[in-house]
Amino acid sequence: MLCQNCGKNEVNFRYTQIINGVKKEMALCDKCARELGLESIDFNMPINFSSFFTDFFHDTEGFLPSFTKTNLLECNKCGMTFDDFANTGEFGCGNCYITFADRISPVLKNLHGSSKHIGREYKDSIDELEYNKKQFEDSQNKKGTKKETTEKQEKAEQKDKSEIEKLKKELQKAIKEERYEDAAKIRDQIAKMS
Amino acid sequence: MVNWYLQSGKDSDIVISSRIRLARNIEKYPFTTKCSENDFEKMLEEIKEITPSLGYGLKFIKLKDIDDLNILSLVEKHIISPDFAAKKNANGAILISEDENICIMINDEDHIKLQVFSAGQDLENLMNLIIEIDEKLGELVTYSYSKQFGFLTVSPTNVGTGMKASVMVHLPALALTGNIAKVLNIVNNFGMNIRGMYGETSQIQSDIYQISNNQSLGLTEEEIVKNVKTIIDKVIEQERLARKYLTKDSLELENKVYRSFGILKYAKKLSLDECKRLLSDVKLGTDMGIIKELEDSKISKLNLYTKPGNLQIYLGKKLDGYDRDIKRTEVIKQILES
Repeated sequence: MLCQNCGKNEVNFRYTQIINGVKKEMALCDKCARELGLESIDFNMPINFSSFFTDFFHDTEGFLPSFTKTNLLECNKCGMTFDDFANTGEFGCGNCYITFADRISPVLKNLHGSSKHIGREYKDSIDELEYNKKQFEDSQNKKGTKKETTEKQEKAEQKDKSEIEKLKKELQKAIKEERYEDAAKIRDQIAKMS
Repeated sequence: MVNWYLQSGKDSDIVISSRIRLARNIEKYPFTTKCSENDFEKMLEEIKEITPSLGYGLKFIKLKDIDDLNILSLVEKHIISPDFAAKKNANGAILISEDENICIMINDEDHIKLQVFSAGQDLENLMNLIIEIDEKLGELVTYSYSKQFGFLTVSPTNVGTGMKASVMVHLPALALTGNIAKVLNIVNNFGMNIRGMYGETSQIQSDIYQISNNQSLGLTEEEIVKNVKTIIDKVIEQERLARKYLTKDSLELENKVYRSFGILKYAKKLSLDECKRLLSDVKLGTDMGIIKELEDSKISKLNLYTKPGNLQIYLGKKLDGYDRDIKRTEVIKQILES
C-alpha cells in the first residue's frame, strides 16, 4: 500500500483520530508522517494535574450557571478563593477545606472514593460546622450590603434566594438520579429567577 | 552497618525498597502556597528547636547549606524528591537520621513530609515506625487536622491519612516476556499509582517501577498498607512466573545476562543509560542464580555508585559527563573486585 499523502512510498505509519465520534484514518509513509508532525506524538508528555481540576469545575459551571456565584466564596484566613483553587489544585491553608467543604466533597469522592476521614485521629480539630456555616453566611451578607438594597427588596430577595436554593437542591438530586431532562427544566427555572 | 539502600530485605530478588510518607501541615501557619518569608523563617526556627526533642538522632539541615553534589546524591538514593531538590529554596530543610532511614522534608509541597525507608518489602514495620514518629511530632507542633477530612494538605490528592506507601520493584522478566503493560494496567485498576523510576526515556532500560497507593482518604493507614502489600505480592508472583518461563530457554537467558555482565566488566566507557540497562540484566541474572560470582549487595552498590552524583562522591572529585562515563567503568571494576 502506498502513502495516502505522497502516493510514492510504502506505508509504515497508521494514524487514527477520533474526534466527536468521527473516525479518520490515515496511512502514511515515514517521511510524510514526520512532515505532518505525527511521528513525534509523545504519549508520555507530562500532564498538568491542576488543569484537571479546572476542567472539572468548568464542566459543572456550564451546566449550572447560577452556581458560579459560590466561586466568590473566599477563605477568611488566607484569602484563597474557590476560583484560585480550581485553577491551581492547591489550597492556601487548612481552613480552606472548611470554607469550601460543600464544593470539595464531590471532588474528594472522585479522587479517593470517599470524602470522610476514617484513619488515625488527632487531638486538635479545626472543623466545626457552625463556623463553616457562619462563614458562608458572612460572605453572602457581604454581597448583600454591596447592593444597598432596601429592606423590602432584601426580604423579597431572600424569599427568592430560598426558593432558588430549594431548586438547586432539586437540580442536584435530578443530576444524581440521572434525570437530565428534569435537570434541564429546573436549570432554566433557576436562570429565570436569578 | 550499611545504610538501607545498600542492604537486601524481604523479597529482595524483586523488591528493591519500601517507603512510607506522611504529609502534615502546621496549623498556625498558612500552607506553603500562602506562606510569607516571615512565616517560613519562624517555622524553620521552630522546627529546628524541636528537632532534638523528636529524637532518632535526627539532624536539622537547611537545603541551602547542602552542596549540589550531596543534594544530587540524596535524590539518587530517593531520599528527597527531585522536585524538592530542584526548588532548592531558601525555606527548604531536612531532618535526617544518621543511617538515612528517616528523612523529614520541610517545606516541599506541604510543611512536613515524614518519610521512612527500608530495603526489600517492609511496609508493616515502616508503618509502625512512621506512626511512632508522627505521634511524637504531633505533640511538639499542632497539625492542621479536621475530623471530616483528616490531616489537611496543600493538594486534595494527599488529604486524609496523608499517607503514601510505595514499593520499588524490578520487573525485567515481565518486560522481556511482553507482559509488563498488562500487569501495570491491572495494578492501576486497583487504585495504585505506577511510575517508571528513572524518568520517561530510560525506564525501559532499568525495568524499575514504583507502585504506590492513590487513595489517602476514606481508608485507614492499615488498610492502605494492606492494599499496597496485596498488590505487590501479586506483582511479585507474576514476575516470578515470568522468570520461570524465561528459564525454558535457558541458553538464551544465560547468553543475555552474561553478555551484559561481560560489557559491564570490561567496557572502558559507559553512559548512565547503558549502565542501567546492563545492571538490570545482571541483577536479573544474579537474582535467578545464573551469575554466581555476584551477590545482591554488590549490585546495590553498583546501582548507587554508577549514578552521576554518587560516582563523584565515591571518587571524591568533580567530573564532567565525558569523564564520568570513563570513570564509571573504573568504579565498577573496583566494586566487582572488592
